[in-house]
Amino acid sequence: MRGRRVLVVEDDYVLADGMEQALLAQGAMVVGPAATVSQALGLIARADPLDGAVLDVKLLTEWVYPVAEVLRERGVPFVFATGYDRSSIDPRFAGIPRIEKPVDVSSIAPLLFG
Amino acid sequence: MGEDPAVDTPARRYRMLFEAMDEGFCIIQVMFDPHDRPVDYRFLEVNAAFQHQTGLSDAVGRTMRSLRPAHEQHWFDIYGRVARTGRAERFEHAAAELQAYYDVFACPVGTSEEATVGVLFRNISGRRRIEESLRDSEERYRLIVENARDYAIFTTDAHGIVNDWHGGAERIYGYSRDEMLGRGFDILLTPEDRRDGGREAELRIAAETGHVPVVRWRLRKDGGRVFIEGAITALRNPDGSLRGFLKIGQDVTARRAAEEALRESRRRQRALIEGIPQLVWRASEPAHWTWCSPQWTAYTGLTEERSLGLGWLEAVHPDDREAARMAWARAGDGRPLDMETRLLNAADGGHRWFRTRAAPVRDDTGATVEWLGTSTDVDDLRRLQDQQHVLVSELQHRTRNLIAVVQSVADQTLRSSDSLEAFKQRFVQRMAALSRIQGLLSRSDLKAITLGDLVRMELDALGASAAAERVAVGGPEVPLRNAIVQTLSLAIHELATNARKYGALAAADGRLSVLWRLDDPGAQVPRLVIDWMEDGIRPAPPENGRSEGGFGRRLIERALPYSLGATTQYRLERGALRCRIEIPLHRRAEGDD
Repeated sequence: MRGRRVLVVEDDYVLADGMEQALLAQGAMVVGPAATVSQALGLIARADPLDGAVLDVKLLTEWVYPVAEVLRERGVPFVFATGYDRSSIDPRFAGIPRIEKPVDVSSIAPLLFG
Repeated sequence: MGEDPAVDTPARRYRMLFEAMDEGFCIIQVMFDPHDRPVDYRFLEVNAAFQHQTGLSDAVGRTMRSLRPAHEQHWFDIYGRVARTGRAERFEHAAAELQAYYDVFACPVGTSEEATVGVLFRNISGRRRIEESLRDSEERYRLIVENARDYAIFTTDAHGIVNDWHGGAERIYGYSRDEMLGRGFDILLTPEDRRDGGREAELRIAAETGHVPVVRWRLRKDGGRVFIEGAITALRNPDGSLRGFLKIGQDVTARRAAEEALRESRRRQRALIEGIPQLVWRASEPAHWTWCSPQWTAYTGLTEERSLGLGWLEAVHPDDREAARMAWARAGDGRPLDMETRLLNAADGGHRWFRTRAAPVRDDTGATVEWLGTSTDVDDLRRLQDQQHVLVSELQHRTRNLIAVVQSVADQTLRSSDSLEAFKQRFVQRMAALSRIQGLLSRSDLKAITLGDLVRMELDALGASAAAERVAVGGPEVPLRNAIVQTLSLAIHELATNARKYGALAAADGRLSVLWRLDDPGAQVPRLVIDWMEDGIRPAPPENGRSEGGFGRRLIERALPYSLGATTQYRLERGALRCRIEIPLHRRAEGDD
């Protein structure tokens, strides 16, 4: 995880902040966090290439799938962090690893980077 | 007889009379045996009609035994008696060998010793036949009438007075023959018929038309009622005048009751089938409908004619037709049918889900006679099940999210606490605030949460009502989306807690006002502007929740902008706090949680 550039998309500040703190503690470099799809897409376009991403599935008023599509196009590995169960996730992304909230940040690195 | 034919004598005149008349006439001489028993007789004279009446020719001079040896003995006995006693006799008797029946007058015409007898006779075989057949016929009718136990047969005179009453009538009406003879038949009428002049009407019509059918209730002697199916027939004299009436009626009470019960049963069945909300239908063989209820036609708009056979498939959603055929194929060998398909609703052109079930109707041998099926609207049920699935999923999401929030609040409270005691105090308060919010959220499907609810709830939790005269709260009722409630109310909790500990509510003369308004309420995204203002604050120690990095200020200055897109100002100077929070209120339609 050390030195990896990881995008965090999470609409709840408290959770985003907690995730950021935990990732930083593991030595990662956090991009974001972003609370909306448009913020996230802006960061992807602007930032240096990403090494991975952690996406909350349901944001305040929208689903995160447009972000997931762009990441897949670019070959960036990502995981969903969500309270929803697997059947609630868009079947287009059925193969994407899913971690449940509350997130144990130490479980993210193996999923993203093997 | 040797008289001169030219001379008119009494003997000649009698002779001419005998020759001219239709009756046969002869004079015989009875012959006796030594014991004085009559054994034969000889014809002495016969008239012209004799041969026609007897069939015997050239009889004069010959004996009866020589002509007809088997002639019955009683003929000889009678003539012998007449000859011996001298008394005439009149009788009727059969003569088998002559194949005739005779009406005979025999009288002595000489002395007892001469034993001559005059016999005047007439062949009455024809009349006898008619009389016999009449007797037979009457006997037959009598037997029929008396044995027709199921029919009430009686006659009345022209005024309706009973003058004949047979066994069946007694059985059906309960009155004996003696009771009824001489009484008017109107005691058999029901009170209604009597009141309506039914008797007169029946008799008048029968008299006019000769025959009137009677199908109605009649009264029994015991007061019970019998339902009679029959007729009244007018009886007429040979001159055409009305003699009376013949009434024949059958007691069909039991049959009528059975028919009525059957009709009632059919009515009930029909009311049931057409009254239940299910669409009902019948099929002669799998999938081939032979009947459908009005509800089917009302729902699908398909007439019964169009639905029969496989016509019903037209109402099935095209995507479900194959499944329907498969379901029938599985049910074909006697297993019940059970399937869910969408059916077209003629009223709105949409489809609704129906559960269709059918069971085979079997005869006494167990063979399937037909199928009786119902289709039940389960669309609402399915929609509720879908909603329930969404709710369960949402609950799971919310619970996990909440645990994550608790974990995060614990982390951050820990970071800003310099002792475990301080951590405990603040953490417990924050958990209490979170708990209050969950309580509000759980009821939010009944009534949307408003900003006023959040503000009053947090101030009440601090006991601010004790300082009510120093607190002003006001603004329009603004319903909030559930998605922003939790973050916003945590922020308000931090503001209120700090006011209680360090701010306006901690000082004896401090004043707090929380005022809000909707800016540009008609816009696509109206802005909710909240002003939290405290005055009369005592100078505060530096290390508290109002410092730059404190949890409360981070929520207001970072979380609200981050999560809700809010703009916030937070100024604390010269004993006064001015905090303004502006939140864009997105429309609920965009996808609430």
